[in-house]
Amino acid sequence: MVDILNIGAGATQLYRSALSTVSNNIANMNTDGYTRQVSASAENTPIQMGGVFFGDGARLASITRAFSEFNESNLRNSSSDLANQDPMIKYTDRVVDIMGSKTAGLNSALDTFFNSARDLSSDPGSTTLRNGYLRDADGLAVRFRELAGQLTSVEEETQTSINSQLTSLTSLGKQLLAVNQLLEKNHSGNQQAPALLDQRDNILRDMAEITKIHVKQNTSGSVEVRLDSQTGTPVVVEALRSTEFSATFDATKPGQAEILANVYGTANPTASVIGGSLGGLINFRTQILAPTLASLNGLAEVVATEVNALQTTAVDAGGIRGTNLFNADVATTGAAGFTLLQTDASKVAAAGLLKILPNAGNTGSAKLDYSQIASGTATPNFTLSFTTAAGYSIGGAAVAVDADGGFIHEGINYAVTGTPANGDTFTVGLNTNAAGDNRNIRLVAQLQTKEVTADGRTVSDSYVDMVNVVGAASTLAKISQDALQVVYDQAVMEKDKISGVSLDQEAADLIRFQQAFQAAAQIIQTSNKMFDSIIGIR
Amino acid sequence: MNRQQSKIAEMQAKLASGNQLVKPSDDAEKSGIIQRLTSALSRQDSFEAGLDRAQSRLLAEQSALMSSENILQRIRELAVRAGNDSLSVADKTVIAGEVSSLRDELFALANSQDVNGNYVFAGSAVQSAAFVAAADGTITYQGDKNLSLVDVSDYRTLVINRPGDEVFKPVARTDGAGDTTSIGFFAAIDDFADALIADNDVDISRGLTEVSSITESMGIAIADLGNRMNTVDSQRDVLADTKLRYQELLSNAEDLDYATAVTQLSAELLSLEAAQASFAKISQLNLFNYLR
Repeated sequence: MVDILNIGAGATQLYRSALSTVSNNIANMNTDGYTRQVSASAENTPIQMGGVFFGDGARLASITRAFSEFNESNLRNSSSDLANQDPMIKYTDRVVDIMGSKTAGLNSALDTFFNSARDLSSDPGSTTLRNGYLRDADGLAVRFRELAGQLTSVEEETQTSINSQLTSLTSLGKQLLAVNQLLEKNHSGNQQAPALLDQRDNILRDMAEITKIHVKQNTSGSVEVRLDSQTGTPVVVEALRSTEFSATFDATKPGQAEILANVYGTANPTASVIGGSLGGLINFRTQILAPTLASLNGLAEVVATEVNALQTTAVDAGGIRGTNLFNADVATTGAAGFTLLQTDASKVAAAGLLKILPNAGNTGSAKLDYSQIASGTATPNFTLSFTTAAGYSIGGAAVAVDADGGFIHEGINYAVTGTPANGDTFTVGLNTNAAGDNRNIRLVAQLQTKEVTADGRTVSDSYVDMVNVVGAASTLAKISQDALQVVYDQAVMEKDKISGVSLDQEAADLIRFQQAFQAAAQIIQTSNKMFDSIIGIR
Repeated sequence: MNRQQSKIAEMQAKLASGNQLVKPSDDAEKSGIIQRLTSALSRQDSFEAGLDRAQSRLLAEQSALMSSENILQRIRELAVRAGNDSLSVADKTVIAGEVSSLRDELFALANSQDVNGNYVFAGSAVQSAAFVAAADGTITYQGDKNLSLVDVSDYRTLVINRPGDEVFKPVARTDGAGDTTSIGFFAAIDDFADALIADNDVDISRGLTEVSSITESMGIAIADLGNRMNTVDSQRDVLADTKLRYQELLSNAEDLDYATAVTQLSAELLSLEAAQASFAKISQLNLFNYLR
């Protein structure tokens, strides 16, 4: 005969377990990464008596997690995509705020410098204005160095950030390895402890925030994690092995980063880190930081080269040919090495290089002028004479004047216009005693609106464009982030729909199981009464 | 709710600063425009400063030229009077004395300096006197022939000086043999004074011609200066206009439209309140509330 008492006892046990599962769900309602657990009951094997089968009650079959592998991997991917935008936005905004500032950007320093040059051009004899020009040239140099310094500190910050992300990726890998080893002890995924599986999924989610991962689940519930879906790409975690990640940075190539994955004892570079905050950092460095730094260095080089070219083809207040105003090594040192070399205001070469005087007794209509200074650091000092017999000569040596009336002497281009008369001479020398000559400093001021960069733009336009490019990248990342946030929220909602604890659901279950428990208790009571009635027969 | 709150904080910062952009990253493109406009505006300011300095230089030139012209008029008057046969030798000597002292005044004027100590008529050799008198009294031009060009707008340049030997211009003298030589400005006046003392009628009348000629050159210099002064004035107006235009553009790009901003802020506040209220309501909906 079927034991009613047993059935009742089994049922109370079953519903007590069910109630404890519900209580556990309610208790863990706010636990991060908790997956709702569901208790399942199964019918006991019926007892056959003759041709009749009697049911033998129910037992607890399993407590499983309400879990969808698809939803989970969806959530992981969308969290990788979302986390990818974050460093991009954070750091591009930093760069834009540094470079695009009205006061701390390059433009205000360029303006001040060129305005000073223009001021000086209206009164080149003034020592006050010369000092002002030097001061603002130094201001420009300091600004270049500051901007380079700011970008370098962003560079270093992202390096630190990459290193710390890699450290956490490695340590997450180790944690996951430990979980994997525990999971491997049991062959069926269904019989794994729910908490262990939750822990596994939490670790995977944290990893996905760092970089995009591809997860392959074994039957035991242990996982194999790769950086890329293709086999042969670095394994992050296998059943029995986890990878050490590290990065190397090349000081000569700012913005560059090489991620090393040490799987089998040797660290090999990998290019498979995409997505996640780590991918975002790498993207920022290669797509934004490196080109920006290169552009800034390029601008520094253009400014130094152009200003130096003018300064060295002119004479200073003392009538001496000028020497470089800015460090000429900017091409190699970049904006960080942009320094002012002159400290003496009289060394500012404001005047044109040469003074060409026709002899007072010249009777011809010829005029001698110099145009561009092709090369060299010559300090010309000669007399050009003309005779009908021998043509033009300098110090007795004939000068070959081309059809356009031009000739080059000591690296300087000269042009003769008009017709000379026999015996006419011109003396050519450095433009001494010409404190009021502004020819050269005016050219410096005109650099402001001159298209001198390689792509044919003015320095300041080129700079503004550079900031705009960075700004556009930040705008794009913000738009992407908004869109990806929606995708992520959706993924969270999808997951919560299945795995989340709903108080309403638990409340209903609580009542349902409580009533079932009471009913089961009633079975025991009934069985007891039945027994009593039998015993009580007299 | 978080996003709403950050939007409201952003609006608040904009309202507090009165700027559309609190930081460049709010809108990099717009901040680029602002940078360009600011830079153009500061360039106009510097053109204006250049114009001020050019004007002070031109004013120095003007006062020297005006005085010189008056003096030359006086010398011309004297030359006309000296041409009158009825004057005695003594009278002519007195005139010669006056001419010499007027010449000295002209010499001083030719070495005028502007407020910054630059010699106005020395070309670009502004730090040394334009004309120097040798021991024997001959005066020679020491400056050069450079014209200093100053940019007073992106497109316009202004000549701020006129070399001294074009203002105090030598005259061409043809001698008896028909040869023409160039005689310095001051030498011509000296020769005239000498002719008066020597009572040489031919040279006196030649002096009149030459004085007339240098007065004419002076007149040309004054006319040229007038043109340049006009340029300064008209350029000042152009710059003022340009600056106004840039300021307007800058204000459009940079300043906050308060009406729109305040409306937007209250809209954001409303939706934040709505979100908060709905959260409070929804979080009360719970089966446990009904189970007793």
